[in-house]
Amino acid sequence: MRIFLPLISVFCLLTSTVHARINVVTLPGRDSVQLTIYNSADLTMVKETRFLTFRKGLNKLEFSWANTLIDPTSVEFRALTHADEVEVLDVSFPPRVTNTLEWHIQSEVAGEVQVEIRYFTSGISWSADYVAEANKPEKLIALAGNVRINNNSGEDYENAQVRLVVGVIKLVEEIRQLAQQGRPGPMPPMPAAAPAMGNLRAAGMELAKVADMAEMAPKEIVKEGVSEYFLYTVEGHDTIPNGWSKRLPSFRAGDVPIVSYYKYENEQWGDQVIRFYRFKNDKESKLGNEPLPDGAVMAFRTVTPDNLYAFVGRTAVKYIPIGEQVELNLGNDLEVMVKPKLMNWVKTDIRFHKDGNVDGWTIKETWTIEIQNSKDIDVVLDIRRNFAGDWDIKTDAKSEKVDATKVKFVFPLKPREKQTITYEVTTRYGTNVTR
Amino acid sequence: MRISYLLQGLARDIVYKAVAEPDEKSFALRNYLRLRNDSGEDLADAEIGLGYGADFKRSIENGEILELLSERLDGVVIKKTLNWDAALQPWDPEYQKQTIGLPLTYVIQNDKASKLGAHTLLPGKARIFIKTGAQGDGVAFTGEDWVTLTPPDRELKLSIGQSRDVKVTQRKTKDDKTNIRRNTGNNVVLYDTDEIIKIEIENFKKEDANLVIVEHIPGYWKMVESTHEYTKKDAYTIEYRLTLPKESTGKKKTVVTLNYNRLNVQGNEPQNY
Repeated sequence: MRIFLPLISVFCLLTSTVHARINVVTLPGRDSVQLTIYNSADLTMVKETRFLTFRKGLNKLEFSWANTLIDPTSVEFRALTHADEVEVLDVSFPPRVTNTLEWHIQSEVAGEVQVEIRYFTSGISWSADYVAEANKPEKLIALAGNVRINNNSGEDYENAQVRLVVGVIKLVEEIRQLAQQGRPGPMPPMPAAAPAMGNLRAAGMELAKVADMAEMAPKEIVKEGVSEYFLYTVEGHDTIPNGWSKRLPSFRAGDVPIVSYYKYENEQWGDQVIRFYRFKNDKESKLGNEPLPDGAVMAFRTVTPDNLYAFVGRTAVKYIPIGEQVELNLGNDLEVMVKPKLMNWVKTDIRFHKDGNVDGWTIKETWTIEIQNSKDIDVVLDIRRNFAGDWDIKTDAKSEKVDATKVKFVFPLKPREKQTITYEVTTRYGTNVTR
Repeated sequence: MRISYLLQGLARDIVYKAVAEPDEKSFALRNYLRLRNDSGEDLADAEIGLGYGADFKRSIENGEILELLSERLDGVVIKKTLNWDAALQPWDPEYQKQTIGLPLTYVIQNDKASKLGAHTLLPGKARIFIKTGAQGDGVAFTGEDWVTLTPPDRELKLSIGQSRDVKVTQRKTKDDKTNIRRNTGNNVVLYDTDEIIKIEIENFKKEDANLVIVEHIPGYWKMVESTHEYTKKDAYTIEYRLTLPKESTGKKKTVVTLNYNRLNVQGNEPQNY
């Protein structure tokens, strides 16, 4: 529940002493407000502008933020107009009060000055989600991206410009923890050596109260690359009250070519065949204007000529840069079968130690893998087999050695197609090991 | 008359705030002194100084916290690098549920060429912003890190976030035992190795990127062949410093291959163990 807005008052000091009588001026509300919301940390940068009336000389400006999640160490002030004539001399956090600071400002100008106040707050988050609709042959999808903004900061933001940052930033202290202290606390002891990965925060997604506010008209989202991050600026201004959630469309791309890609790797998924929609985040695929933030995906497929949909699955997509391949994991699919079978094995080249014990041997195994596509669509099947020790493989099937322990077989399969592949693996043990 | 005494409860923190230019080759650094008076005494017109930057004369009440801008440094030279360490990061991103981020570091030399070097940088927290918008009139926060004590002519590294637009896939494509030596019980007691590491790097960014790759090779080893120059950091660590061309993906990706032998067999082993 919101109790207090950040309050700004201007006091003009009649004398230069701290105990001077002061003239309090109540200020109008914010002129503008901009929210820059991060999805990798519980952090939002708020930038607001206001018109303040200064008197020439020393001015005192008070800023308070009770019952909000504003980080007191982050609050900054700067003059946008008359910038060379308005100088912050110091910032004071007065004794015996929390959630209040005072700026002592020397002004060479008497009159109205536009100022910017910037601070970090906790409790506002955003996340991406997608809806993928495949056509019946599952060769094209329509992909729609949305962003959802959640405000649980304790503060209403009216008529705000919203910017969303896609990227992973490092925080060495939690903004929420700093906010709860009410004033700057002593800095914690520094780590002896900062870990390379740092303390990377996951976005908080708790919602006290969630409601979607339907948009009257879709808004354009302007995208901009900044350093290692991507900045989405939502067109126009939005009011995001505390406790509310707002969902905005981000992009929509039709006829994105996809491959129904299936993977089988016992060490990863057991005996299951996992289905993926595979496509590229590039111009050829009618995407590639922006990286795709990580988020939830709902996948559907058209099943009848009159466009009735079937739910294919719910999944999550990881962050995809521009130009990178996307794989939507849709889970196990029983209509594509992979059945490896050990058909024969033989132990050969047995060597004996002089005491009579066996100390070297070689095992030759013959495997077949039955594969079957029972679906009505073309698929690509990717089978990976892992081996250990001193091993060699012989096969007539098309294969690729991924690394020193893994071999990959990739087959395009037509609807209802069956195949059987065979390979022979030789593994040497004990004194038979040659490498 | 001057009265001097020691006082407990007066503390100071150093806070750095920097705004980087959009090209990330320099930033404007502001150095703040944050004083905390918990001494039980109001201090009127106290002279405050850090030994560098501005000196101040201020009153600070008991219980008050006072923040002062002590130094403005513009055009401080920074070098942005991405880092990938084979001991810290997953080798194959395909098997990871989240996109692997490469730590992003600003490297700053505390010297005159970098528009610093006048004094030691004291420990404190640094918050880094970057200019945004066509006119560079906006800013976005890009991360924070602790500044460690950095004397003049030393290097400061600020690790502030991650890049997810550079993808590193490392695989060991050869891992053979060679020169196998056995004891009289026919057990393997000694061998050399022949190992090949293949590192495939894709830069999805629209700009070139600087990447530092750290590889760890245990034991006594000799490099047989490396496709790229490397620096030996210590007996077990080598480092590649690469400039990745923009949008070098797919067939244009950067491939580093290193072939090394780990050597144990000296040639003077006894005939019988």
